[in-house]
Amino acid sequence: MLQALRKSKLFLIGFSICGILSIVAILGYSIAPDNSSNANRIVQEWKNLPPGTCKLYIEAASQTKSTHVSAWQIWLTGNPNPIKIKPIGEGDKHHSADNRNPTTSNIQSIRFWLGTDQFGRDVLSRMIIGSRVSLTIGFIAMISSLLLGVFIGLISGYYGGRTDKFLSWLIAVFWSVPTLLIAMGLSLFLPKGLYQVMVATALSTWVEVARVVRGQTLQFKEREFIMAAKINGFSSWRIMLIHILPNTKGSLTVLATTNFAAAILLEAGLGFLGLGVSPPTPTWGMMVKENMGYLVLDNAYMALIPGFAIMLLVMGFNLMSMGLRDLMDTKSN
Amino acid sequence: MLTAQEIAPLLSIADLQIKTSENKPLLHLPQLVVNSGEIHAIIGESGSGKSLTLLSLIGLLTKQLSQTGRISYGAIDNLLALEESQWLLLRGKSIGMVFQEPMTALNPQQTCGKQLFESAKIHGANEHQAKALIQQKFQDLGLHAIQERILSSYPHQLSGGQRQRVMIAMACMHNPPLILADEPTTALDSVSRKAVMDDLYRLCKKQGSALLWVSHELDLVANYADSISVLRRGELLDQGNKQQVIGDVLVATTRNHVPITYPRNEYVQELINALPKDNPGLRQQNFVPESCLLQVLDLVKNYQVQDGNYVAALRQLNLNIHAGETIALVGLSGSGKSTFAKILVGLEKITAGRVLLGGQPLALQPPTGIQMVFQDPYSSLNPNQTARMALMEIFTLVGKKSVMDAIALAHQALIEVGLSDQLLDSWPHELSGGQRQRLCIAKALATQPRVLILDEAVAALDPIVQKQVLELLVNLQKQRNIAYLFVTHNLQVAKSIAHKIVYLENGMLGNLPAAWDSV
Repeated sequence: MLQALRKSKLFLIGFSICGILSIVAILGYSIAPDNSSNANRIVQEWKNLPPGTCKLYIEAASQTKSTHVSAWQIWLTGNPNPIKIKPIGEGDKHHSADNRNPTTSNIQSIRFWLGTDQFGRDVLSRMIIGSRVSLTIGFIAMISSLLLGVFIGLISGYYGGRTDKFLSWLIAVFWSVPTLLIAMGLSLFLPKGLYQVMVATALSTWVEVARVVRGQTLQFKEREFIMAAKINGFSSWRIMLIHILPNTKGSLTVLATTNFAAAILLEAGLGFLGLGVSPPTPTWGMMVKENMGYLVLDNAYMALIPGFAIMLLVMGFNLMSMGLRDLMDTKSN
Repeated sequence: MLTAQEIAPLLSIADLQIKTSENKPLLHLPQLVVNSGEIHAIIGESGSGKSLTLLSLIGLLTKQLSQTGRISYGAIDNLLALEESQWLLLRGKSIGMVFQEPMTALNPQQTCGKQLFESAKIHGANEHQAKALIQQKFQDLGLHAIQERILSSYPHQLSGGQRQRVMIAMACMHNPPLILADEPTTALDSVSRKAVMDDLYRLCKKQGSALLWVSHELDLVANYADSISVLRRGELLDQGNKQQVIGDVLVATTRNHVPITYPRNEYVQELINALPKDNPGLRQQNFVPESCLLQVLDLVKNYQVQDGNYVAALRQLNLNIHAGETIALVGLSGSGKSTFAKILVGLEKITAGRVLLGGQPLALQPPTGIQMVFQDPYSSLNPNQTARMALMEIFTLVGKKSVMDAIALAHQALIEVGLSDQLLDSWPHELSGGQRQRLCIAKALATQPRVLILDEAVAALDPIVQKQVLELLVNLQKQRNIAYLFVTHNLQVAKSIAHKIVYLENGMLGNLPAAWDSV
């Protein structure tokens, strides 16, 4: 299986895209130029800088007591007391020298590879931290949709009869409710944030998993090895989990990657509509929304950068799923 | 034109090679010639390339396989060079095909009549002509008396023999010069397989069609074929007329004559030896029944259907099985064989009556001390369990053995069924059909059952393997003094292994019908 995957170009391209983006997301604050929490360092003087701009600044003394922040904590949540920045313009060198009498060594330069947004925040840093949000939501939604879908699908397919009728009805009901509606409904009684988006995505993607697992369970439970297991008196749970579930791993792998992609798109969509994670947490969907106005102006790139990132990540997962599907098809032939 | 066709063979295959995309050879057929009106049989075990040859001849070989060589048919120079659109004109009109399993070859959603009319009209017949064609074929196949019923029936409402005759009628609809048949009688019971083959033979002779017939049933081949090719593992072992290839051994044994000519190829002789015979000394001789092991007393099983009615699957069934005895349970499909087996293993509840195992009432929940081996070794093993995992699971969970004991027992279990214990860590797909069936037997025996139900347990195996597995079963019976209930529709196999044959019909045991005796 692994041998065949190595040969599949589609899978390899998809896997590399997702792999690189995952590494970026995992490193997160450790590689972001602006490692303040949520990459939220606002510098009013540096609004809407074009990509590649280099600026000079002086590191101002922090007002609060400088407590020691461990590298571990910075990696996890960002630096809660980041350095204060006092920007200096082109001709400002002498003034600042008069003011506080800093040595020239205090003057530092910073380059904004992707420019800054309307609040003067570093776009690159926000993109990096935003990838964390996308991948976390995708991952958790995928795992929970698998757990819920496999559970309901197995029970529905294995027991049949009234249980199956009820669960199939439940599946049909969830199938028909638009995800946006679920998200809006949830925002009524869940605090707006990461969890709400995760729950909303999981609730709308488990249905497909349940349908596939139910179908495969129906198919496998007629096979004679299941009857042999029943004759041995194995419990229903053992038959479902040890004898049926492993046989569905092929389609589940494909479904997991597809669901991952769907969850990322969904999160971006919710963020764009303002139903997603609340600011200042950066998410790609929200960044598209914030900069949508610039699409008709010169700096359209501000909306296009996060849009392109969403496309790349979703494409990566879809390519992976296509590669896996090809592999499963040849295996079944 | 006519004379030229008569001189030249109808079908001539030269140097046909079929390979996978990885260039692994699957079939190499140097030569095969079928003359007009000739009946040519291809015999061989599974994986020998029999079916590939047929698929290649009708242009249905999957595109992932590459085929080289030349197949000339009538006026067509090379079938392999044909386009799909040309094939459409050929299939059904000039080449007919009969498949192994009529249940899956017919569309379950359409009546047989609709499917017959479709195949009649597809090559240009109008409603009236189609009706006449079908009537003619039904007449030839002896179905004219029940023609209207068959035309309005769905495939599942017909018997296996009737379904296969419908398939034959479809294949012969346009009197094609060549008919391909892929094991047309394997899926049928002992009685109908002869009758169906008889009908197919007569129809071919009547309309002058040649028949290229894939089969592993040597007794039928010996009766009907003119010439024979023997394939094994994609290679042609022997080819020639019937006398040359199988001699008159089979004719001789059935008519109590001393054979004069013998097969010239060892493998063919081996195949003939593997044929189940009436008195082969395979079963345990001089069997003296001791105590009664399994007693079935007035067993009734009803299935509840809608609005309070019920269907009787078993009515007043009585049966005694002794330790060390083999009883063959013969019956057509739908006679209640599977229901009976399910009751014994504890998967169905009894409506009325009693089942006693060793004097005690049968346990209501599995495991009941009665085990089962199934027909299809490909679906009776979990593809995600190695032999070791499957055996360990049974020893630890059912046998309540410690893990260390279970490991030792798993080794023993494999050796007992004649498998090397090096196969312990192989996955089912790595095993051959015979090895899988041996593993299934090992799994069934792992719980120390006192009765083993063998549900068509050798039907899916090749003849030689079939004989080996039957021998294994007989040996195991001697060692363990276990009782077998051999469920089958193959009377030859039943006669070769069973001490007693019982016939199940409509949920009741009865005498073997006269038609079965002649088999």
